[in-house]
Amino acid sequence: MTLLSVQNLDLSIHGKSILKDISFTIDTGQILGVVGESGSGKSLTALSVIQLLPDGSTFDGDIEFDGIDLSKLDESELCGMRGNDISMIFQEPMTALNPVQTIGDQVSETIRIHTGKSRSEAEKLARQTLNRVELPEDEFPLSRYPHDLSGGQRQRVMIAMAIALRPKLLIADEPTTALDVTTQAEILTLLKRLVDEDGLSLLLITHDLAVVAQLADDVLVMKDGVIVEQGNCRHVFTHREHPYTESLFKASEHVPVRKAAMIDTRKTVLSVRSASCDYVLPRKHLFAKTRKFRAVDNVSFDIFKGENVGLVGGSGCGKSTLSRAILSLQDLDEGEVLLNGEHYSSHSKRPELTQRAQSQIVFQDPYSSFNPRHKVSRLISEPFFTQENQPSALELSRHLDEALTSVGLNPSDADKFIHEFSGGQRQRIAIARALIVKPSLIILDEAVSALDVSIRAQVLDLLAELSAEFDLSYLFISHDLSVVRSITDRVLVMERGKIVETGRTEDVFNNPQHRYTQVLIDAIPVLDIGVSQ
Amino acid sequence: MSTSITKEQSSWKVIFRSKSFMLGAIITSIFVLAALISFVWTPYDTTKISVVDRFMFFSWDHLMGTDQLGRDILSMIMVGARVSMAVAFIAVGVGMFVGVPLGLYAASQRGGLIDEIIMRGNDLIFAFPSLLLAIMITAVFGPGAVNAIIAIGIFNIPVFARLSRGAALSLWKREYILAAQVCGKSKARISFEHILPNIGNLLIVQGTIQFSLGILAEAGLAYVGLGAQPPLPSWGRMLNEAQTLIYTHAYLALVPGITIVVTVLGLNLMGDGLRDLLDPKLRRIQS
Repeated sequence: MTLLSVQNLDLSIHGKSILKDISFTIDTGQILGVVGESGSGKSLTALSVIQLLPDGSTFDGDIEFDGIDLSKLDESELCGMRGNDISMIFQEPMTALNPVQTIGDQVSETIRIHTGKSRSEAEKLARQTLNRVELPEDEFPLSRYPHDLSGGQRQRVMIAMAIALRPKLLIADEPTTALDVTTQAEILTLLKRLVDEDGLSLLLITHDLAVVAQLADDVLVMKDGVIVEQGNCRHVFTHREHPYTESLFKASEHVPVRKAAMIDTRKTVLSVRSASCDYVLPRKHLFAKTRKFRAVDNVSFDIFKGENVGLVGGSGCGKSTLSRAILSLQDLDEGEVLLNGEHYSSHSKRPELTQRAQSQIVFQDPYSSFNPRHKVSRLISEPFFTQENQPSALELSRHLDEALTSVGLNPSDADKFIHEFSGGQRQRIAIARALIVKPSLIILDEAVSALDVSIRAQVLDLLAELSAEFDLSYLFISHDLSVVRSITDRVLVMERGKIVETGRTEDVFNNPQHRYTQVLIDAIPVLDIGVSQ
Repeated sequence: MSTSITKEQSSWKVIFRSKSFMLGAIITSIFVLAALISFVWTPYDTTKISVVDRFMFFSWDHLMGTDQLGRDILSMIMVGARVSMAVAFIAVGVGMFVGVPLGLYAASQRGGLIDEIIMRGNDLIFAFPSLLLAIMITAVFGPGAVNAIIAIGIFNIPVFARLSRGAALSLWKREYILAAQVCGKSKARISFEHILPNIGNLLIVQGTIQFSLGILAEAGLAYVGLGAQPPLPSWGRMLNEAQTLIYTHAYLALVPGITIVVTVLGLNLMGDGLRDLLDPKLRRIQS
């Protein structure tokens, strides 16, 4: 039976056409996946269904839900429908919950608004719903606050809020994008179970083809506000009739071509020796002793010249703390870091200014990585600060041209401001900034995680090329294991501040030894399995 | 991309469309103009006393009338504007000049002992009502325009220190700040090179609002006799002198009173309008 039918939906915001001629249907109990890159109109399609469009949008077409034409309803009728018949969960569980209300209040609030049940009845139902999303009573009483839950647990609370009234349609907008692989696998299993139990229909929006392949019955592939291909998921993904679908697949499975690794094991670029970092926890009361949390626990490893090393682990395992400690952005509590055989930093010593040029970093978020008030030329020449002899204006412009050209940008881009560039271009500029002083080590902290698949493939190619060209060593930190697999020679697996497994990338992925590594690798959504089912 | 150009154009449009900003800017410029003109020309000499002309109501000879000593009130308002604005402006400058570096320094030492000392010191100053603090300072150093500047300036320090510390703290988490640290730049250098330009908007807006509060504080000090000393006219003292005559000659109190209200209102409107214009979040909604 058709639950939701969208016909010829057109949407424009302030006169700018966003969605063109969108038509699809969802049956009861069906999972419809919507895939596409950022800006393709996935989220706005979902927001049109729930009628929560931004100001200034004009909208045309029929949206029929369970026999009712949604565009004819007024705001109060829509409010009665939202949360009751249609609910939605969002990408960012960290900000989607109200931090000053207990989880019990937040789940029961939805129930009380829509059903007029008494507080105690609503709380009883809230309890049942939390149990259903696998937040058991003894560990997660209703009185807990969002701040002491992890990201995955918060997402479960969000799901509980959404399904408490057993809606007919659940819209999930990138529900697992902000979570690490193991948590992602758990949340997806939970969603699948709820769909089966309640006969719920699910509109699942994601940029990850593998997630859709695992879960969805039907799929829409969107590009620039148009549906380019739709139909049965397995059929669409195996036949890939539209070139865009094909290119998405190619980009997702992309493995950058890497020249035969020129690893020189006699030259150690980075050597971390029994490094440990502590965080001081807040005191329980005024006279309590301060307690410490060991984020990085006695970690030792080496990176050789020209080698690409991956560092993987779930969120909160200490990856980022370790990377910051290596760059001396954070003090080491024990141990030391050697760079090119020289002492770089330890608890008592910070690196010399000239040593700073030897290691650079590229961050995850291309939008907050640059001072918005400086021009590109000033942004990427910042690392020259580390050098004793500042280059002359002529030399500087030669260096700028060289750096911009080597990351595939135009030398004339140097006079532009950062807001004139897209996310992928910004990440290239970030790489140019790291490259300009010819460092021997670049730390890539989730450097491609925020990028769309096709852009990610290009940036990975670029990284592989640069590594071969300049004999660069990378420390590639990521929670995305497939990316790590495609670009690294060796991989370190980190759990709770300790390195639990290390070895050649292929060996670790094919034959993981440690229990945690096995869990991580099992949790990767695999595109092939989904298609061949 | 073409968006940069259109954004530029639209921001000008937004400025002219923002009614509160335009109204505030017009009022403020009238008073600034009056203060500037008073340097070269006033209708009458404010020190000239003429008992024959006293208590004259509004007329073409004396647009705002004359006071109990026969002085022209319009001239006194113009010269008073000069005093009020100069005191408030310099005081805000003092507050910014001391407060912003303190706040930036505290933010760069977040959680450290120095941060704690600076911010608790600010709390201490904040704990006193501004006027009381100003009276305390002028009581110690004696009345006068310079001491009024010092008093109001000291009161402005914690306002700017807190504002810049708060804004800087959120910027310190940005990745471009980390990237600058990777380049070995010192915290002080990062504060001035990267953080200060990015909190400039906030400081301009807060500065406008503090400016209006400064005018109010100057009037208050002058009213209790601790501001600019005679024969220099001042809005606050005009109010004070009119107090005993309020039942017979109400306009003597109303003219300076309304002047103060309108000036402060104009500056506040301009500050609010500026905040709306400079806050990118609000601008995105408008455009």
